[in-house]
Amino acid sequence: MRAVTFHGNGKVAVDRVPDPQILTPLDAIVRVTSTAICGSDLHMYNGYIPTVQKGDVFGHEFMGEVVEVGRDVKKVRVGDRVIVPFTIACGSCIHCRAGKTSLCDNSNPNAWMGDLLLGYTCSGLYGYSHAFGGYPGGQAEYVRIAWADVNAFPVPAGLPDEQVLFLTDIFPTGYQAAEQADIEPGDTVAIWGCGPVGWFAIQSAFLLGAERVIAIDRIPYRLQRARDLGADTIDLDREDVVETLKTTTAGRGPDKAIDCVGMEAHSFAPDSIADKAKQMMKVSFDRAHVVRQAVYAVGKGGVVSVPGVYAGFIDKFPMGIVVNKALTIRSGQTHVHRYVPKLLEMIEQGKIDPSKVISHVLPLDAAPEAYRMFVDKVDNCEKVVLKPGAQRAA
Amino acid sequence: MNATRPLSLLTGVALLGVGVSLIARSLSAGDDDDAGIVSPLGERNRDASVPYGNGTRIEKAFTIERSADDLYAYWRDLSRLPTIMSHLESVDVLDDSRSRWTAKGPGGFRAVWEAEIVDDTPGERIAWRSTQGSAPNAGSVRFAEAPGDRGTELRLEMEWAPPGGPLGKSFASLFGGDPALMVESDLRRFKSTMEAGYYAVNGTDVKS
Repeated sequence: MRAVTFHGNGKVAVDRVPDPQILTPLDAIVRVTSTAICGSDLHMYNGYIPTVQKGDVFGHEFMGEVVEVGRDVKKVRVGDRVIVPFTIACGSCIHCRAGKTSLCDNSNPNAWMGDLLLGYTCSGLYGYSHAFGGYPGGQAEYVRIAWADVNAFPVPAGLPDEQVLFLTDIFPTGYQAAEQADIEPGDTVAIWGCGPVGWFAIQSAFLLGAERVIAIDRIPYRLQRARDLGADTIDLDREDVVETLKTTTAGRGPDKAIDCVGMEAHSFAPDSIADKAKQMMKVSFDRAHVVRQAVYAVGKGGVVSVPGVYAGFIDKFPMGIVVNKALTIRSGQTHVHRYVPKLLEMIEQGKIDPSKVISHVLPLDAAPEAYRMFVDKVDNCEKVVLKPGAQRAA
Repeated sequence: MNATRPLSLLTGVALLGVGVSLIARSLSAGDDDDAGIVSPLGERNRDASVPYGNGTRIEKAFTIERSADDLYAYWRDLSRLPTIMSHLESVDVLDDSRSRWTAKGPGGFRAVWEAEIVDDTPGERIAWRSTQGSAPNAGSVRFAEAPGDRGTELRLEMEWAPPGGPLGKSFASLFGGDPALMVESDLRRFKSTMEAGYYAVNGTDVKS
């Protein structure tokens, strides 16, 4: 089959790779109809995620049709149209039972690597490094699904792929980020990053009762999209983020802060330049400007919610501010499974139209150009959906 | 890959000799206090398999979302262990307490030993020691309720000979890596099998 594989920093290609096989009787094989490139794929593409190897198949946002099931699969059937959460859950361990599927004890075949990096391994992820399981990803024609009855969610025939695809990651990720910010009536929520996760976080914050959302970015078309959702915006290249937040909230500061940027923050602040240098020297994986700024800018007693991906250690973390302002920091990879039914219902009720995040739909073969376009933010690139079944235009 | 095969086999045979002589030495230690030996339960025991202080000791624990009785029952059927323990080729149950174990390493290396169960407490503990063969070892696996409805704590302790040094190291490397990591991976596969039906695989990475 064809699949998007890593060829070294800044380079992917569509290669022929072996078709996936059923490996345990609880597996299924899905023929991918739609798959998306995620901002977190760019962290791998840019070489900032450890244990990514040449030849690895990328992709953790995908959906399609079940074409084969193992002999012990009970609920999922051949022909089902399913979405597949990017965090792989066994469904039975203590964390899965508690609905915290990204903490699954059993789904990482390379658990020892996860233990080494994190102290205790978290769930396996599709197409996201060997430390997170070495699972071939979904930017491919076919994918093997582990524990299929737990991880494949059938979706209604009436909803097109573009409406339900983002239930695999970015919609639940934006929603969890807002939910764990504990938004209360009257709250002002500041959201760093107006990429696709930020776009969903803005809408989730409003859905959860935020009075006002202030979105922060530096890319004009992203700021415009945030305003289209009803958010106020701050262009960090033109305004002093901290001061603007303080003034606009009449000295209270935002009640809640959400970092939808993560490890590749763009800023010319001194801490960020130092981070970039360390990243280039491979001393550090993370540029942590946003989370530092969020801790500084959030109001007293606030919550800082971090859905943005960080890989390892950050320094100059303003712990004194966390202590003195009595902040709460919430984070985590997304417990996608817990949100799918609720968010699917919201889509069916028309409360949100996830398809509007899409800026480009391209054949799978266009992946190399699509990655470059997304990295460089050209052609107002917000979200790329790849179609393995589509032919590239001549 | 065949170039390493004769060497591995040769080393395997040489180690087999070392293992047997260790057991012979421990069995013939008799009244000599300096050659004191320790049983899986910790007290001095002239019949134990691993000479006191000379074995490689491994202790690993996992919390598993199943009852102690379930975990004990799976483990007590020793013939099933090769499905979760990647370096075991087979365990033949000879009678109620005795069994024959065959382990495999890279390059066709094999180790064979016989073991007997020295403590069998249903739902609580299984302890064993090897009685003869090329990989003298002894150990116990215990099952106890975890606090606050968190399942069952499994604790495995084992010790194996030959002792450290160049020969001991090459013995470990014959099995393809760090013995503690091997045991940990085996136990994790046991946990996953008990909790989730099967352990995780990805079809790309070699399991450790």
